[in-house]
Amino acid sequence: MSTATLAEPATGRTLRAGATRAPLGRLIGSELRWMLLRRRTVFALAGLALIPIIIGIGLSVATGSGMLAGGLDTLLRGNGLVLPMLTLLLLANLFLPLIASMFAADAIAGESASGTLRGLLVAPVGRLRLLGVKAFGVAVASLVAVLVVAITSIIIGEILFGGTGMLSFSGTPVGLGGALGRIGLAVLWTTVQLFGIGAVALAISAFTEHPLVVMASTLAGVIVFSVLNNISQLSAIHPLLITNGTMSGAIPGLLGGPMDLGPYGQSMLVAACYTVIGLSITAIRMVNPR
Amino acid sequence: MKTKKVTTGIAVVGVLAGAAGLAIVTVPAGADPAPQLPKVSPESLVSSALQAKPAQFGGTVSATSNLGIPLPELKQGTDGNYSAQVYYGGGDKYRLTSAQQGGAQHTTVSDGSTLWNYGSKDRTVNKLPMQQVKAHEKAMQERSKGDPVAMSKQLVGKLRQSSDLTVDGTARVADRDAYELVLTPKPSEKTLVREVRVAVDAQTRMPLRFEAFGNGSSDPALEFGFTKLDVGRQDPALFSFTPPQGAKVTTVDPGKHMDKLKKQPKQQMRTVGEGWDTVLTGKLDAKNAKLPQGKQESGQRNTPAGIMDRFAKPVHGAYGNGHLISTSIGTALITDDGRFAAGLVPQQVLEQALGTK
Repeated sequence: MSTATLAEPATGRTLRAGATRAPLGRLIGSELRWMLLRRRTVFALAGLALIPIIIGIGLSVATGSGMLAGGLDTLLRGNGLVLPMLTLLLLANLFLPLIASMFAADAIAGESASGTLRGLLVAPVGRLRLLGVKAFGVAVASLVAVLVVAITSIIIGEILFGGTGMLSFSGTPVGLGGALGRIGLAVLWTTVQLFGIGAVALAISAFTEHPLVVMASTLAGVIVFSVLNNISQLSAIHPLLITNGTMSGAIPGLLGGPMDLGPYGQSMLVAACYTVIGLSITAIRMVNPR
Repeated sequence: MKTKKVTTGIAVVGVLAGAAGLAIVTVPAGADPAPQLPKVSPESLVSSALQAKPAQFGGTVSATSNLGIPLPELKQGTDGNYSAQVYYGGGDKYRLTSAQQGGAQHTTVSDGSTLWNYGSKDRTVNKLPMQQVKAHEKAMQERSKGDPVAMSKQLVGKLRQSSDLTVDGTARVADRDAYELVLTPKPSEKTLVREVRVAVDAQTRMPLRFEAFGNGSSDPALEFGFTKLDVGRQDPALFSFTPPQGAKVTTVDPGKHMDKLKKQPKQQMRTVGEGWDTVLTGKLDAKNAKLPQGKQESGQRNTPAGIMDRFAKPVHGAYGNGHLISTSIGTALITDDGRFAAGLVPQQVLEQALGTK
C-alpha cells in the first residue's frame, strides 16, 4: 500500500465508522498497484516467464533423444498445450511458493520494516479491512504469477510442439476450447494452492518485521513438507500436507480422458483449509498487536 | 475493546474450523458406519449376485497388497497400490484406464465390435476385432450354460464342503450399502487364509470389494475393490475410440495368438489336495524355467536371480534344494531342478505335495 493512502486524515478510530472510511475500491487498487508494479515484482514475473521457455526448449531438445522418462516426449509431440500443465506442475513445488511468499512477506512484514505499516494502522481503515485488502492482494498477485507461467507456456508450447488441441492420456482428442478450459482449471488449482501457502506466509508476516524471515520459513516449510511427502512410511499424514497436491495427481487428472477430478477437488479443499487457518491466525495477530 | 475480543474469538474459531476441515477432508474413506439392511441368506445372496443383470457404472478400482513381499506390479499407482478407472456401458462396452510408471497411462476401450488398447507412453494403438473374442466367449458360456439358481446352489454346496459361508453384517463400500459375504475355511483345513470377505452391493448385487485375510492379521493381505462407484448411465462417448492422428495402429489377430499358445508344450501341472488346501505342483520346462522378466524400466531391472535373492528363502528337504517364497496368505516353493508347488498353505503342505511326486 503506497503512502498515498496515508493522505487520508489520520484522525484515528474515534471517528464514526463510515464517515471517513477509505473506499474499498481505492484501497484495493492502490494495494495492487503497489504490489504488482514495484520493480522487484516485475523482475520476478519476468524471471518466471523465462522458466517455461527454458523448460520448453529443454524438452524439445530432449524429445526424440529418448532421454525423457515416462513417455513425456510422446505426450508433448504435436501436443503443445500440455506444456502449461507440465510447467505449472513443476513450478508449483518450489518456484511459485517462493513468489507467493515474497508477496506475503512484502504485504505485512515488508511494510512493517519500512515503517509504512504504522501509518496504515492509524489510517481510518479497520484492521480486518486491511487484512482483507492484503489477502486479496496476495491472491491476485499469485493469480498473475500463475497466469504469466501459463500464458508463456501456451505460446512456447504451440511454437515448439504445435497442435490445435490436446491429446488426452487415453488418446482422445480434446478441442481447443476444451484444452484451454483444462488449462484454466490447472491455473485455478495452482492459484488456490499458492494462496493456501500465501495465507500461511501472511500469518508469519504478521508476526515479524523481517520479510526475509517470512520467505525463509515459508520455503523451509514447503521443503520439509515435500520431504515428508516422499517418505512412504508417513503416507497416513500425506493428505494433510498442502504439498501433497502436486503429488496426488490433480494436474495429471486433468489430462485424462475423461478427466479425473477426484484428487483435484481434494487438494482444493486442503488448500482452502490452509487458507482459513492462515488468514485466521493473521487476523488474531492483527487485532492483538504487541 | 469489545470488537477486538469478538474478532479474536471468531478468528480462533476460524483456526479450529480450518484444522477440523483438514481432518474431515483427509480422513480415510471406509470409516462409515455399517448400514441397516434386510437380512439375506448366503444362498440367496450368491444366487442374486450370479443372476444380477450388470448395470452401467463408472468408478475407480484399486488393489492393495500387504503380502510382505515386494510386488513390483502392484506398485504403479499412487500410495504404492494399483488403481484404475473403470466404466461399463452395458453389453460388451467398457473402458479401463490405468496409470503406468512415469505418469503414462494405458487405456483399454471395448466399443462392442473392437477392443482397443492405447498406450500414452509410446502412442501406440492395438486393435483386436471382437468377433473372435466373442466366439471364444460364447463357447465358454455354452459350456457353463445352466440355471443360475441351480448353479449357485451347486457352487454354495461345493464351497460349504471346505468352508463356512455366512453373511456377516453389512458394510459401506465406495459410498454404497453392501452385504459382507464371508468364507471361512473349516478348522480342519490347513490353509493360511483366515477368511475371505466379499462385499456385495445391496441394490445391484454386484461385488464391490474382495478381501483376503491371513492368520493373525487384522489387515487384509489382499484387497481389491471399488473406492469410488457411480451406478447409472454413462456417457456413450466413453465407449468409442478413434486412433489419434500420428498413432501407430496394429491389428492383432487373436487366431494366430491362440495357435501359438496351442503349439507350446503343455506344462505338466496338477493339483494335490482339495478345498483350501489345494496345491498346484508341476515342473517348469528348462526353456521356460525363468521367472517372468520385470518391466525394463531403467534402473528397475528385475532379473530372476535378483527377485529370488530379494524375497525368497533358500530351503532344502526330501525334494532337494529350493527357494521358498512365503506371504501372509500363501507360499510357493521352487526347487533348483525346476519343480514347483504353490498354494494358500504353509510350507509343510507344499513339501508333502512335492514329496508325492
